[in-house]
Amino acid sequence: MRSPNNKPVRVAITGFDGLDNPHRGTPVARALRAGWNGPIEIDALGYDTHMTGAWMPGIADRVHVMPSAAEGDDTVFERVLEIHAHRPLDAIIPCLDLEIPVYARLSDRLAQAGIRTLLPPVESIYATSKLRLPKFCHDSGFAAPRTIHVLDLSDLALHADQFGYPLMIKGVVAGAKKVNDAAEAQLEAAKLDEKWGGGVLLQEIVIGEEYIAAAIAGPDGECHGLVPVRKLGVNERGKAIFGAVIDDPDIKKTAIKILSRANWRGPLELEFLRPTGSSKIYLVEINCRFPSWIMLSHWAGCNLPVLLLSEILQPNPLTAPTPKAGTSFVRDVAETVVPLTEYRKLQRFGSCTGTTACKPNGHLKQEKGFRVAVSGVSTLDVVNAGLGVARALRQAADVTAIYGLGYGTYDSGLFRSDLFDVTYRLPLSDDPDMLLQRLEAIHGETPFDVVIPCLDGEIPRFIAIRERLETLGIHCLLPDSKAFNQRCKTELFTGGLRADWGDFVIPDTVHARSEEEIVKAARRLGYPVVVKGPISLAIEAKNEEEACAAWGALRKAGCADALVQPFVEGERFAVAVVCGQDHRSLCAMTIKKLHLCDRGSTWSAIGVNEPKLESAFADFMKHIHWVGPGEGEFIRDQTDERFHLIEINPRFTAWIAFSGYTGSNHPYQTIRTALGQAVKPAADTDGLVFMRSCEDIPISTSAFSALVTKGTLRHG
Amino acid sequence: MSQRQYALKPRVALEGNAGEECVLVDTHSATLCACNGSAWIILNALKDGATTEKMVALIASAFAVDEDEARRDALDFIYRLTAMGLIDEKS
Repeated sequence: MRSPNNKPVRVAITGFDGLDNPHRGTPVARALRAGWNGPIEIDALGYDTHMTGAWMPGIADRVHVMPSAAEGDDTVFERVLEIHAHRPLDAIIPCLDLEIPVYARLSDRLAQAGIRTLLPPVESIYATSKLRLPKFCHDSGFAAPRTIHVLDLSDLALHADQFGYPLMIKGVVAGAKKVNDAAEAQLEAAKLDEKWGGGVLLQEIVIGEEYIAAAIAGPDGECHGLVPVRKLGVNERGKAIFGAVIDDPDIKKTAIKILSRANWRGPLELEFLRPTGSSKIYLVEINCRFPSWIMLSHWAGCNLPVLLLSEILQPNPLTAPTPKAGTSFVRDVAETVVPLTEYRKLQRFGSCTGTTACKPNGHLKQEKGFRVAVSGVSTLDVVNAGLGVARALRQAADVTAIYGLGYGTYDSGLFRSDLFDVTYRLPLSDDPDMLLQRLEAIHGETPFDVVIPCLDGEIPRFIAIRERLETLGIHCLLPDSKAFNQRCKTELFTGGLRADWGDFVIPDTVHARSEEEIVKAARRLGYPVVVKGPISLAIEAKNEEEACAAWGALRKAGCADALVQPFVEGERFAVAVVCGQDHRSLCAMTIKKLHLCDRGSTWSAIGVNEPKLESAFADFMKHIHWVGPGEGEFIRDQTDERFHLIEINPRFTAWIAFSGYTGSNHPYQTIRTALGQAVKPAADTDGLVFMRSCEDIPISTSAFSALVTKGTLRHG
Repeated sequence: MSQRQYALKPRVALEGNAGEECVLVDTHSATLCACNGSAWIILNALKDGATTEKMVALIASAFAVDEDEARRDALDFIYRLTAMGLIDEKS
C-alpha cells in the first residue's frame, strides 16, 4: 500500500530488547522495511537504552524510552501523545505480550488522537492467556496438553510428582523449561516465579512434531493472512531457531478455527504439537503478538507485518498471498556500533535518532590480499566468535576472501553471504587427522593463507596439526598445549599460580568432586558462592539448597567436578588481547559489559580505558607463554574496586567485531602476525557502544541441500 | 508389463534445475530431499504422470544402463516415494 502524496507512513513499534530471546519489534520493523511499498518511518519504543534491536542499522528512524506498562494506561498514553505531538504517528504495533492489553484498552483513545491500531479485545487476550488456555481449549473443543497452574510454589512438588518427569514448567507470562526431576523443577519454578510472578504452569510433555503459525485477523475476525511453520531446530528454551514454512491443511484449518473461536483481531502466534503417529493437533500456546521469526513471512512472499499495517491504515483486506512452502530461516545475530552521544541522548532526554543508514560492510576489496578461513560460526547455543572475527575482517581492505568453517547444517553463519565467500562443513570428529584431511581438501579447492579456530573444544586439534598445516602453506597463531591447559579453569584457579597480579586477583577457589565437597567448600567460603563447571556454566548459589541444585545441574550437563568461588558483586569487564610468538601482547582492548543475556554473553558493551588492567593481563599471558588471541573476563568488586579474574577464553571473544569498528581490528592483526608481518594496530576510536541483536536469515532449499550433500556452500 | 501410472501428489514441489542443486520439497512437512540426476529425471516425469516403462526408458537413455538395471532403479524409487506418501498410483 502506498500513502497519499508519497508522504511517509509513520509507525511506532514496541519490543526491541530480549537479547538471545528476542522481542518481536525488531523483526516486525525489519519486515516493514523490507516489504512496505513506499516511504515509511519507524519509531522504536522501549524501556531503556539497552534495546539493542532498535540500534541496528536500518531499523528505527527514532528511538524513545517509554514508561513501564505497570505505571498505568494513562502514563503510557501521555508518553505516546508526547511522541505523537513531535511527529505525528499513523499507527502503533505493540509487540510485547504484557503491553497488548494496555494498548488494546487504549485503542479508542489512540484512534481519537489519530493513531490507529488493530488489536484483539481485552476479553480475548484474557481468555487465551496461558492461565486460561486450558479452559479455552476445553470450551472450544481443541486438544491441549494437560496443564495446571501452581500458584503457591510450596505445592509444586506434590503436583509435579503427580505429572511425572520430565515435564514443562512455564511462567504465567513467558518462559518455559523442561525439567527432569523435583530439584530442577523447584529451581526453575523459583526463577520463573521471581521473573513473572503469579506462580507457574506445569504442562505434560507430549512427544511429537512442533508447529507454529503467525496470523492476522481483520476487524471482521476473519483470517487475513496465515503462515504455518514447522520447527526444525529449537534452542534450550524450546524456541524455534530454524524452521520452514509448510502447507499443512490441518494446521491451517485449526488456526482459522482458533481465530474465529477467540474472536481475535490483529496479529497472533499459535503453537501446535502433533503427537508422533497421530493426526490429532494439540494447541500448546496462543501469543497475542507476532512471533520473533516473522521475517520468514516476508521471505515466503506473505509479509504479515505489511498486511497488518495496510489493514490498520485502510481496513479493506488485501488478498493475502499463499506463503511459499519450504522457505526456511535460521536465527543468527547482527552487530553494530552506536555513537555514545546518541546513547547518552536517549538516557537523558528519552528520545534520540536511530541508525537508519546501513553501515557499509568494509572497504572496497583489493584484488590481491589475505585469504582466511574462520571456524566457530554458529549461534545455536551461544554466539560463536567466528562470526565476530569475520565481521571484523570484512572491515579490512586487504582481506580478499573469508571462508566459514562449521560443523553442523544448523550453524547459522554458514548461510551468511555478507560474511563468507564460501562455507564448508568440518567433520564431527575428535580425530585431528580427519580435521587435517578436510582442511587440506578445502585448501585444494579454495586456497587460504591463515586459519583462525574460534571454538574452545577444537583448538587442541588445531594445535596438534599446526605444523602439518604450515607445510601446506596454512598459517595459524596458536599457543602450545601447555599454555592452553594452564588457562583451563581447573588449572587456572587451582594450579598454583600466584593470586595477586597487580591490577587483578585470581579468586580463592575450591575444586570439588561431590555434593558433599560443594557444600563443604561453600561453608568455608561463605555464601553467596558461584559453582562453575570446568569448561562452561556458572551458577550462583545463595544457600546450601541452591548449592546442591547447582551441583545437580552441572552433573546433568556432564560435569564430573566443579569449582566453587566466592560470588563477587560488581560490574563486568573483559580484556581482549593478541599475543605474538614471543608471548608479548600486540594489541589489547578493554570493554565494560553493559548488557548480558542469561547465559552470560555480552550483547552491549562500551570500550573503556584500563591500561593498568591490560598491562597486568598481558603480564599474566606472557607468564603462561600464551600465543594468539585470548580474552580475560573480570568482575570489578564493588566493595574494594579490584578486578577479579573469572575466566580466560583461549580464542577470540564473540564481541571482537567491536575492534574492527573501533580501529585496532584484532583478527586482522592476528592474520599479519601469523604470516610473520609487522603489526601496527590503529588506535581505537572512543565514544562507541557495541550492540548485538538477533537476526534471522533466509535459507534457500538449494543452499541447505548443498551443505547437506556436498558440505560446501558458495555465496555470490 | 505394468501399465500403472504414477504421479506426484500436489503437495510435492520440485526446486532447482538439472546440473545444479535439485531438491524435492514435501510442502506439508517441509521435508527436503536432495536429488541426484536420475531421481530428478524421474521426478520431472512424474509431475505430469508416468508409467514404469516410461521411467525405465528415461533412465536407460540418460545414463546408458541396461533395461534391467534401469527397471530396478525405477521400481526402487517408486517404492521409496510411495513409502513417503508422495505419489498417487492409478491403474
